[in-house]
Amino acid sequence: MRLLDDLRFIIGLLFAVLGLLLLIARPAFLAPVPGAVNANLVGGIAMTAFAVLMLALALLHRRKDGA
Amino acid sequence: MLPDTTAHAMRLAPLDYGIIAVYFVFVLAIGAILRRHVKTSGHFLMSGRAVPLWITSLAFISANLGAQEVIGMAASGAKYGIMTAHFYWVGAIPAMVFLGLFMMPFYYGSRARSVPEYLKLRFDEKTRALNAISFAVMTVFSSGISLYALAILFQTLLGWSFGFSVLLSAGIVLAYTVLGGLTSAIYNEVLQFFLIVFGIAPLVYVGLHHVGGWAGIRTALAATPAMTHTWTYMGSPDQNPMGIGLFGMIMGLGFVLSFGYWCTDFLVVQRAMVSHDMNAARRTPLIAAFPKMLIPFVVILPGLVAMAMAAKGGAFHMPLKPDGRVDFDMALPSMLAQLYPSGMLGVGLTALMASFMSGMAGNVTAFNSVFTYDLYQAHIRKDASDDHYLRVGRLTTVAGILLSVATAYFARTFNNIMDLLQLVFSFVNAPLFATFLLGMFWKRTTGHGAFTGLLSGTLAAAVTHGVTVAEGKGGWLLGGAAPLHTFRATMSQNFTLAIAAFTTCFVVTIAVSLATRPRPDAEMKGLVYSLTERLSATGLKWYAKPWVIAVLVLAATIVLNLIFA
Repeated sequence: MRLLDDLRFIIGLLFAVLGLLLLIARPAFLAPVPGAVNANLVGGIAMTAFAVLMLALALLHRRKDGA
Repeated sequence: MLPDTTAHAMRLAPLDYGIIAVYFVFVLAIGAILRRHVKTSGHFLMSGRAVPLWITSLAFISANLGAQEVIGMAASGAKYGIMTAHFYWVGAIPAMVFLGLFMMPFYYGSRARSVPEYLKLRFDEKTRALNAISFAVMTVFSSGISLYALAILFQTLLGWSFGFSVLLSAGIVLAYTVLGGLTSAIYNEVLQFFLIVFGIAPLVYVGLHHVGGWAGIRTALAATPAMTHTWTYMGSPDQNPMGIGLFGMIMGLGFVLSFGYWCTDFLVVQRAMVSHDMNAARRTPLIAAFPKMLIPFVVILPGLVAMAMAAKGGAFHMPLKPDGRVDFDMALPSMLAQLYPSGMLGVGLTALMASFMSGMAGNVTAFNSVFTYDLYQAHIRKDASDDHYLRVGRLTTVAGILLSVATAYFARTFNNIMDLLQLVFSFVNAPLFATFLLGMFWKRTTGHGAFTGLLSGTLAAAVTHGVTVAEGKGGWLLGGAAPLHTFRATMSQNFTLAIAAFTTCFVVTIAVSLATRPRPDAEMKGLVYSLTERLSATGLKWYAKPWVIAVLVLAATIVLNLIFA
């Protein structure tokens, strides 16, 4: 199976792009409500961590398949 | 003070548009990648029955996680409180367990390609045709309503034109479903599921942090304690904001409506039917139940957080309608607008868009399977080549999308007609579970009984609605006379008409079945419980046994009910 056919890889790629975009853009866009947590930081960390997990699973699956 | 109707107005930065564009690229790429795998009608309409378990499980709940669910549940959370979680912890979860343990063996084991086809195998062609036609009409209209709601929402939030939103969303769903068929729709549903979770969960985190967690919500809403309890105020309809008593909740929502939807609606059941084997098909709804029981924390909690934040005072305020009443439907969009900076705002909006598109694609793919197999192949052209059915499947997808667009424009002109249509759908859906329950577990049920029962149940639902009133709705059969009963809330009325429809269908089906000739036992093997060999779970690891998963699911659900009681 090609890596691109694995949904985990596609999901990982999407969330890696989104997570990194949020983390990079975080200093430029602050929380609208004073004193609130910056959602870009929360979302960026969560999405990047999830992306790493999905990409790792996709690569492990590929290695297991011997492709 | 003038009502604030602009609490949900949003201004997007280029970053937000970039995030929406990235999502669209991925969605279309999935369709393009999967295109080369679509060689037969079975691949296009049934995913070749080769979709992995984790994907079917997530698609199973994602097909239902449309925008009406995401926005509607947040609105109900704000209006009724945590009691809204009954839709999950009393409604969906037990029904999904029942489907996995008891009904899936018949759906999958019969090799039926659709729910109406099972009805043909178990009963007869007329029962299949009745179910197929009503389902096809409902799915295409539901898809159109979803499209209409998306366009109206984006017009309100972003000022996008109605036509632009409709054509953009319909065009993208069309592209990826025509290219990759059901597999593409399912893959995108999984992608959309994660996007909805990651797009909205940070909102809950930020909101909870702001109000001081669950304890802070309870303190802020101390004046209306029923908002933060699921069971404590269920003793009488007068005690809780839903206006529903214990019987209505358990029988109406917990049994009839939820079992009727989760066990018989082809839109969700189809996701399990494309599994690679029987055990995976049975485990699909069971595995799906784990994330499903946590969905209230993503879709209902934002509504409660919004109410708590508004009650605490400060910068956050709930959106109001022009007449000054709270606009619960805008609770979630309003939170996105007021708590998210650019970046997450783009992700949150993409999540909303994804939920609309997920609902639409789910409806369209179910529509093309039912049309191709249960109407076209059964009644128009029986013995054509597989290539022919593949072409019909693709053309039906295009037709389904075009009909959805037409419905969206129709709804824009006659908004009240869409309310009526949704009501009619509930009349059709409510009795269906009685038909399946009797068909699968009582071998004496006949085709004539099932057909007559379905029609009678639908009629009973319509009559109940026509002679009762709730929040100004119903009572259309009264002609000026006093209503038979006045409900405090529409939801209570809906539960009652579901019970009436189920009971009527159940009784009429039994009566007509006893008066008509049953099919020979030999013809019903694999279709009825008493005539089907029990499935053995020996040889399976403990965690792969359906009943073990079912026990774990039910135990976790009981714990959640107790925590929030």
